Amino acid sequence: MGLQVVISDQTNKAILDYGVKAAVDGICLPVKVYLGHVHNLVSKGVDFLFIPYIVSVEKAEYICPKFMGLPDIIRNCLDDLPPLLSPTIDGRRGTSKVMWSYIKLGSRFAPLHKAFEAYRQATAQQCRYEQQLVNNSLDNRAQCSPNSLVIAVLGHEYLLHDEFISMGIIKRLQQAGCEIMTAEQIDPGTIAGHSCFLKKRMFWTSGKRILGSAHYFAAKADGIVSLMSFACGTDSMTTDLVDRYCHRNQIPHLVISLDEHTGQTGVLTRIEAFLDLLKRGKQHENHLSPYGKPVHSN
Amino acid sequence: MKITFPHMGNLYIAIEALLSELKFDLIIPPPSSKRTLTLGTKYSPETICLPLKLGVGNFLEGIELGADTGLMVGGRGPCRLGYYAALQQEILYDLGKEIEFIVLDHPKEDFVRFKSQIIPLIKAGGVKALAKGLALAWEKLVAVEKLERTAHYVRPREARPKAATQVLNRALQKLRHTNTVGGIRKLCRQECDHLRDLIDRNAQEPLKVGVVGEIYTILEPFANLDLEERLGYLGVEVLRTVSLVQWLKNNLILSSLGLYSNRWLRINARGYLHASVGGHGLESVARTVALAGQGYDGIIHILPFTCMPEIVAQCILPNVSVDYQIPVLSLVVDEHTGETGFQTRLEAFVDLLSRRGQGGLQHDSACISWS
Repeated sequence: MGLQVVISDQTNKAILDYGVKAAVDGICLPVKVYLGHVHNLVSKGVDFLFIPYIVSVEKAEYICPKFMGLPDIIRNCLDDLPPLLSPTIDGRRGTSKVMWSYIKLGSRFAPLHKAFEAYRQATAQQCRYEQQLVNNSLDNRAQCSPNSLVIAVLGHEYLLHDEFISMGIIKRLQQAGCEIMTAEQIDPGTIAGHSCFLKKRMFWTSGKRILGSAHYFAAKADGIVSLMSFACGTDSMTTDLVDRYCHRNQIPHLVISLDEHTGQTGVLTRIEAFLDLLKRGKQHENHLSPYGKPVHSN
Repeated sequence: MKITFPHMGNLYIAIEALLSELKFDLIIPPPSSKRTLTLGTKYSPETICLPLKLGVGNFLEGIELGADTGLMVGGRGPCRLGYYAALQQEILYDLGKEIEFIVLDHPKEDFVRFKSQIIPLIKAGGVKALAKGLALAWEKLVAVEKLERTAHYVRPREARPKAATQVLNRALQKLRHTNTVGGIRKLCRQECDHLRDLIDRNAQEPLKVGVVGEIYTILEPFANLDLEERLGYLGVEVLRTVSLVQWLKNNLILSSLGLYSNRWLRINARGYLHASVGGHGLESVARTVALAGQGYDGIIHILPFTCMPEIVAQCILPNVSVDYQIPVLSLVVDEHTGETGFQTRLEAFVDLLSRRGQGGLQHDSACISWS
């Protein structure tokens, strides 16, 4: 549409520190980081900030209350902001509503047909990218060394793919010779199908993704690693449900809780220990230590 | 079938009225205590909000007393409350307590379950008993809130310390054993008069503080460490902005008829929060704005640690506080039961309010509140 887009830097210590200072104590890590990113953008001198109200992206589901009021949080925690572009993304009554809110936003800056065309191109691009992720998944890949461990990593995308806050967990696992599986490598239909094992329908889209993919990966992966952020409302429930599910089905499960703590050694040690456990489990014909007890005790 | 359910303040009086009218065996768990909290905390996820933990504790204590069925509400998000029942069921299952759960959920959520669970429940006592039970429960709920409201009014003005609490507790016990609509109304009137008799006519006009925030932590005195009572003894008249009667009216009756609208709230919160964020988040902001206009001396905002909707409100309230020149104290409650720190913060807040009242800090907006 002829607008110049400025993106904030990769998360770094300065961004995190600023966010932590600006936010109230009890809010979750991702919002703190988000505040830091907003400040980063403001310091780059932008004319508008795109911060949408995201209520829902799927029918009868929600994201999380904090996303529903994100622009209001930002406006009240930071001063001297440029005008915000805050369309309401509300797909509770069908996802076509989402399209209209984007086009309404676009028509502020360009004629309607142009906004429509931009929306079409953007969604096509997004679809292609998502399909690419599915195509690259372990199931669809031909070569896969039989000895390597297969680890499923679960968590919100904004944690998993942020190298700074996730402490590069995916990279580290890959360096240790593991094959990684994540939820975006599964197509949404499969996830929806696999989340049916729950007693009650999960009404958070991200929670549904995490639980559905945990169920899907249970049969395929040697172990599951869950990333959760401290004080995240949805994670506090979904991670616990995944843990209970893994425990009942004897699947090794490691929970890593992330906060503004940046010391990496503790996390590394836990990952190493977890991988050691999986390797030994393989040597001992999948005889894993029972929950809370070592294998080799009498 | 012996039914147990989690506590939320004095709600048990209404549930008891309804279920005993329907001729169900009812096991009321002991009031939430440190033991409830210890049990709940031990078996619940670490960072979940306080109401779930206390709920788990209540269920476990109910089961100890012989309950085999749990009664719980459901929900459709975005607040975690909607998934409480499912998670509590999982927790109890993993503990080897396989109790049946009756979840009062939206019929659209799981119609098969709704049909198989709720309809037999209604049929068990017959429609007539159900109607009477609902009428009694409603009447008791209204009476409880009226009594509590009167107690909030009387406490800062009472002649003999703690008398109002004693009268209130006695009245609530009497209410439990009253089983006609007329009787309940009469009792409520009488006991309110009793409470008002405790007022010291020479008492000076107390400070007025509004309590906003998450409904469970406002209504459950164990969770909020008897906030309302403490404030009363500090000479503060408390206005509880959250009312269960109002909530049920809005969300069950009016919204199912399509008549409920949160327009009033949105207008009040305009400029701060644009729409509902689930739970009572919007309400907290809107009521703070409204109470500032009604001449209240201060606002106390109470929320459980990690509460999703209320934390949005918590981000916003400092600005409301500065703009409307009204002190706001946000209190976050969790498993912590140390009372002294809590009491000190309340005392300091009340001191600040009374000094402001005398004109000391009126124009110093930088020091309007701290939280």
